[in-house]
Amino acid sequence: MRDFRTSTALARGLGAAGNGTRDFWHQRVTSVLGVLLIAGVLIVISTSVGADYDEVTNLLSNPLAVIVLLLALLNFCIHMRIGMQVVIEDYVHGPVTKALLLIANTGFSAVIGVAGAAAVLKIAFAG
Amino acid sequence: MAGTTSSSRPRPTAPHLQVYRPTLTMTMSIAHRLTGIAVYIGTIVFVWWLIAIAAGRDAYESFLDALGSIPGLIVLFGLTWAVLHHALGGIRHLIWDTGRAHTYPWREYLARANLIGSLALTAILWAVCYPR
Repeated sequence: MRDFRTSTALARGLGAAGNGTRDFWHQRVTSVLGVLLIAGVLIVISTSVGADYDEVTNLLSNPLAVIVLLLALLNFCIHMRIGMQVVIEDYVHGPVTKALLLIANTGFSAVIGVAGAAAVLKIAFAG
Repeated sequence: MAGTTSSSRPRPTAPHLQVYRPTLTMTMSIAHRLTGIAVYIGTIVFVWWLIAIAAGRDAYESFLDALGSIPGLIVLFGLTWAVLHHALGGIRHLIWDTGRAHTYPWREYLARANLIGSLALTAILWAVCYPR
């Protein structure tokens, strides 16, 4: 369907980066959900303290633990990326250094999320 | 236009942290950012834990040995506090987002609750978990 909005209307409110308040809002969403998820993660970690290897793999094969851990990894991967981006933008002003750090930040957050998720899935499905 | 002046005088800068008398709310604000950075780095420990379990018994034993050492325990204790402080600080920010508690005395109560709450929760969590 044809979009009848003018190019000005499409760009209005989106700012220089073209994302508008997206990061701000995503940070709020992931902080509300994060409070719930970190409670779940701390319960899983606390339960694992003092357990032997078989008990720990058994615990992490529990569907509820798998769901909490996967959601937490996704949630915090998004939250930590936006948070660190704010820190970088506050303190690093060289355009090249800033761009490289922002890329590294995205890469680190993605690696944490994907590596964690891969480990959780392997424990749950492959022992 | 400001950008087109030929003056070589450095641009004026806003006063930064060092000119202000430290207050609790300011300290808690800085602590929120620092604990956020600490937890960012600390996710390595969390993912290391998951990968060690996924990798098998020996890797998990090595992980437990490393975290059970004195430096390991210090890092884990600090990380526990950082996570809890950042989580409670986040709740404080969410309360502010609704337009509440920006003024005296609530902002002070929230700052204190943030610090005392994070320390208390850390102590409780370690007291419950540590000596099995």
